[in-house]
Amino acid sequence: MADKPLVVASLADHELYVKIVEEHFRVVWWEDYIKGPEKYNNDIQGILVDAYGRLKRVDGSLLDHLPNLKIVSTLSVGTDHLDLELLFKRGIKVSRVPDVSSDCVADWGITLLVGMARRIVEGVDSAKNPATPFDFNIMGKKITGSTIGVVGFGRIGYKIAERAYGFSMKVLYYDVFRRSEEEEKKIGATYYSSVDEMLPHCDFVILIVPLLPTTRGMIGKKQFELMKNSAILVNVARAQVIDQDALVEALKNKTIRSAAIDVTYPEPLPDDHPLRFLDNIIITPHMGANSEESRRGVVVAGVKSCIAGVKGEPIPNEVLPPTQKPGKLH
Amino acid sequence: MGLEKLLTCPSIRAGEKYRASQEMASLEDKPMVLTSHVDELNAYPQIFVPVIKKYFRIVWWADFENDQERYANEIQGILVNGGLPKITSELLDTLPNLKIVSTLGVGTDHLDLQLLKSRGIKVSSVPDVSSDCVADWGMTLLVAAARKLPEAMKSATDTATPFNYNILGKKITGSTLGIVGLGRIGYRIAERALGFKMRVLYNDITRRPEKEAALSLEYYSSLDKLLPNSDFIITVVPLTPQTHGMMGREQFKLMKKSAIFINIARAPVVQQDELVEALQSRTIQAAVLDVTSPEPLPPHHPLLHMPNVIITPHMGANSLESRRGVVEAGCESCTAAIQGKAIPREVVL
Repeated sequence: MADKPLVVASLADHELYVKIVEEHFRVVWWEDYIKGPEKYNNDIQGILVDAYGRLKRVDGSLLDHLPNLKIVSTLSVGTDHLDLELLFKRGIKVSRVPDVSSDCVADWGITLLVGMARRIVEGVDSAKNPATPFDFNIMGKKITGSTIGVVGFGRIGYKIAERAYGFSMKVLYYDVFRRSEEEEKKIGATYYSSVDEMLPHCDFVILIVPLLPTTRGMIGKKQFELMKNSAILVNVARAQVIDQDALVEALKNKTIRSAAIDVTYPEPLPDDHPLRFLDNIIITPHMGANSEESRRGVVVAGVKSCIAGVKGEPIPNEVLPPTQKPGKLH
Repeated sequence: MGLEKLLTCPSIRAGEKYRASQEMASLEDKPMVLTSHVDELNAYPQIFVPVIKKYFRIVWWADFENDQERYANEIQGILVNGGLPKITSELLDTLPNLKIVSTLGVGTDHLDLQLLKSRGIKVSSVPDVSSDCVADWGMTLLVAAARKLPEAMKSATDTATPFNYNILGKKITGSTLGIVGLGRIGYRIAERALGFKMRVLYNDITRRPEKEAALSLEYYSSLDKLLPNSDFIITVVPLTPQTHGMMGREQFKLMKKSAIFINIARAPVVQQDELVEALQSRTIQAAVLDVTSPEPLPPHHPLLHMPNVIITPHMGANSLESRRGVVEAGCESCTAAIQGKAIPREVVL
């Protein structure tokens, strides 16, 4: 036990992962760490973090106290909760898990899309809730043959498009990079270099971009006005990709038909937030990667990278300092 | 003559009455059909009435019951929606000029086809207009159940329920779907499942080699052999003597404990009490029912109170386009029969 390196871990539900993590490390869980950090600071060689735990941001306020830290391993696709600039400056390695949960998130994106389109939440309420009348006429929106605009055509975006294509949907996509002709042809996808040009053609719009300076607030008042009145918006990216107040207005005024969002700011929303009271929205608690297989796979991959970082070996899925043009969405 | 009745009929709203009075001349040319009633929750929503009126003068059931003599001889067709009106020999006895019963849906299990055949009355259904819509719904139910969408929604929006990041669902991509009944709808479900990279197996009384080849499906001649290999089972069969009660205790035992069962066919395909048992004893993981016996279930029915059960109010064909299309198609068949022409979508008796 004394041989194993010490890591501090802030994960959503550590009971799920204890065995996996403790096989390779001694672990101080965040709730224990903050009670007496001095006990641990000098020994900590790795940080295991995800987007759900109590530690919301890895930055100087933590890093300044960890002189022997070698690696920050985030058990997520996104890295917007890490101060990457500071980490790179200090020569601390960073890893993430970009692909284990891609299928899972793609499945969830489509689940939200079809669930909102066909009003399943209302349907279940109608049938199961004694306070709501049983209604044979809950009319949904046509899915087959409709047009989907995928904003962000990375691993997950492409998989979403594959699933949409299975419903005979017409696929349009926006990304800073265009896919190969072969990849486009496989799912009949049409490229748009401008989101604003794509939006008016879409029955469904799904957001699956990373949060970057170029994507923050990319869907706002103007974009809602460009969308069809009958359109449905789905967000499985980061909440800040949408101007949330503009979303509230658009839903209230029926500028768009409805929305299904897996992410909000903050998470959770305060009890009195207007989004809770609209009837044309589905909100879910950030569960894109929530299948058991996917979550476990993410932990296994993240632990593997963390071990490599601690040992000074090549790190799978290392996040490297930017040497290319910023804004690559893959 | 019939117009005064229309204008005073309580089941027709003010707006419709106004329009009816404006269309007086053209109305009198149109044949008369009998149908059930308008009810936004339980029968035709008002939006479909103008579709029917393009083709026919409508006699609503309530008015027919009140004044059979006035209408009986003129009624040439019956439009059946949601199983109503019920076609009995007593009803048929009162309608000497009835040519056709057009049911506005896929199923014909609610019709006494032998009775209609014996009276020489034609029958039509609408087996194809809503296929995509129902297939979309089948997949919607599958993914929503797999990933616990209703529970998720509650967690995020109901302030009395804690916000829970750890609602873990069942993997969809790469899992195995068993389709029971590979007709129009079953085939389309297979297409959608393949988009999720699911492995698709099917059971049907008829093997369909071309469809198998087109989608790389695996055929099982025996339902009981299909069941243990599937992560999801969806029943998409018509209700026939052979399919009645086909899913019962033995079938649920053969399924994986982790499997999810989805029924978008007809409720009697499932032995409902045995399903309840299977769910309570965790013989299967979860069930989704778009159809139940009865519809709706009584308020204290166990299925309404189980967290691993999704119930929806028979909404497979519920997109506006699909429902309107079904009404339109039914009216076309009905008109054709009245005019003595070849009947599209005839149910051959």
